[in-house]
Amino acid sequence: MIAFFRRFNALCIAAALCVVYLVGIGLARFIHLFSERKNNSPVSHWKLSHDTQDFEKLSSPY
Amino acid sequence: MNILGISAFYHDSAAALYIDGKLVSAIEEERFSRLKHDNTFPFKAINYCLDSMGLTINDIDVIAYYEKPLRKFERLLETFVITYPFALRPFLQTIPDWLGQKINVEEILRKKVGFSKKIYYVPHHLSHASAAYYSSSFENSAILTVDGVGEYQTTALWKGQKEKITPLKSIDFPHSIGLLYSTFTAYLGFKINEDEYKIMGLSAYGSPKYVSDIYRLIDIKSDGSFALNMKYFSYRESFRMFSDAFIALFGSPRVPGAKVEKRHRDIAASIQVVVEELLFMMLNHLYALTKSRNLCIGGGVALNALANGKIYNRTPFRNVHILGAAGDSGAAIGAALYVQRKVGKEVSKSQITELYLGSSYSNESIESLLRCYPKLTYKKYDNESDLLRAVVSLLVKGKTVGWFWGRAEYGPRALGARSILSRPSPHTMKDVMNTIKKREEFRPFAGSVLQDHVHEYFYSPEKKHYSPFMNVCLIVRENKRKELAAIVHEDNTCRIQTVSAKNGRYYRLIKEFYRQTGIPCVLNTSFNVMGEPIVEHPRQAIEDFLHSYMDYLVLNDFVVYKSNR
Amino acid sequence: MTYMFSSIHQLFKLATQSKKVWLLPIILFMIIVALLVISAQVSPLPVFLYPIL
Repeated sequence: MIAFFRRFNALCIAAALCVVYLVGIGLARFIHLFSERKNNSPVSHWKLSHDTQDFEKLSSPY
Repeated sequence: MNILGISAFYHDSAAALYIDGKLVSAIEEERFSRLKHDNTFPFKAINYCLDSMGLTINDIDVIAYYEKPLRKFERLLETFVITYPFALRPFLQTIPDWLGQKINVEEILRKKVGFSKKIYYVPHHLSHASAAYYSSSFENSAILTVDGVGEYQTTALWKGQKEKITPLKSIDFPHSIGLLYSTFTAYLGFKINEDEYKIMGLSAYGSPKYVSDIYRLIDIKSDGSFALNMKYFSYRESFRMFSDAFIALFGSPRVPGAKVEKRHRDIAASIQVVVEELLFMMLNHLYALTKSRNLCIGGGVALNALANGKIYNRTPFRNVHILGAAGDSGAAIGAALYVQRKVGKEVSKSQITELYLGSSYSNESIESLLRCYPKLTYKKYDNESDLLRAVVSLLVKGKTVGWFWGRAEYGPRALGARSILSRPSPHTMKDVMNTIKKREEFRPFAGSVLQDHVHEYFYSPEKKHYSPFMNVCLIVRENKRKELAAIVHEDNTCRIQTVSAKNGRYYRLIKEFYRQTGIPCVLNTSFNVMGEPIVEHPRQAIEDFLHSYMDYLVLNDFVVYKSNR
Repeated sequence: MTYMFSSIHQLFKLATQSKKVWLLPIILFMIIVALLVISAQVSPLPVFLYPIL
């Protein structure tokens, strides 16, 4: 019985994730379209780096 | 101050322990779990590092984690957004794993490991840069980091100056040399993040006929920057690395296990050429930015020994340092080194000259284990000179010897602590070794050579070329190719480890071999059979010995024979 | 159970530190899924029963 419920749970979660993908990611895609910036530089694909190694930021996982 | 560096969740999970600025212990999780490139959280590796120094987790002052998990998760989500609506299946598989553990690093460290103090998250490529630069002897250096992908960056240029690392330029996902090489690895029927070095070995057997086709996949600028044409790659939205357009260009992919054909060899040769050219353009640009003759390289692509050996000829760099554990296991060291400089007191240079950082076993424990194997006979040598003379005489007779001594090496290469050794010639020794290791026949073997004799046998950039971590391929001199026939590859190169007194008994072994044969070099391959990580415990060494064609086994001071000899 | 709260906490951190607007709808949905995923690991009961209980 428990095995059945575990499988059922897994299916429910997969269904929920499908909803997240179709709706959540879809909505995000729409918003992302307006914020997308493409690097169309004809000369270089390098992105300049900035020295952002603040010590305080090291303790954040972001 | 005690700092624990950790890498986890992508591949090669590992832990590294620093005590008062000194690297005292480091090991990969795979050595315990026996799962190659194990990416689970390294609980066993952490326990080993603590136990080896008689510490508990409460003795650790700081933990340094090798990446920013939330930023990585953000990049993952952004990839799903950009590829919408084609990436549903990867989304369904990836998200539960991330929500279940990968974004919960702090929770795991606090609740499961029991750590209560400060945790620092060092950006992934900075961890690689730190591992490469701080482990070198250079005060000033150019630094290149190249891998599959970290949080966003796949390639980064840095400048190291007086202990400070300054970022210069970078390239972000999905444009990645590591993923480009992995795509071809997958296309040629091998495992990604595991078999890339097989493509490197295979390349020597092919002609670079597909170079112009590969250049259609990449837009390369004169400054070495590049962008992949994502029409040919599908790793953002599916589990397959290459797209239908890729197949249309190169033909159908090789099925894993199928015969390797000429076309496959030619493609391997071509991708190796293209990646080398790209790296050299990048390095030349890096030199122009930094004007330093010193170079440090980190990240998984730094394990491409064939490219590394050509840096001296193709770029202005004269002194090159690549840590043996250049991949993600090395990033655990890099994270710890970086945090050490930020939170610790002033530290002197933390150069790493050898990687014998793992477990070791006493003669007593080995002997009590050997007694459990009635099929084995063993002899203990109380004198090292007698032991080495006996072992070398076996090597001279063409025997293969499992060599298990001292502390295990850290990183993917065996450096004379967990090795299988043989004489470097005749050529048939290569076939014997490939049979023992159950490897593909095109795979070459590496050599360990006395540092004083490198220039005599190889075209090395300087007389006493220093390459202790086996991450450089050099061309073998013509008049020495017969003496090293089993380790000279199809393209006349050999991946070498230079050995000096720092390598302890292994150095003395090769010196004895030189004394008896006049050849200062042995064939050295890792002590494992195909599909396994390098052996960790003497029991694993004994089991591999018993179930293979290996002739003899040396465990510390014991020489072990199969009883039917 | 603590993982559930931890995942949600991390998702909030991501939303606040990232400042990328397109993340917001995803984070919202993720929090709901985080509740489902982690609680399904803890309990064998069907997840649709949770609101009823």
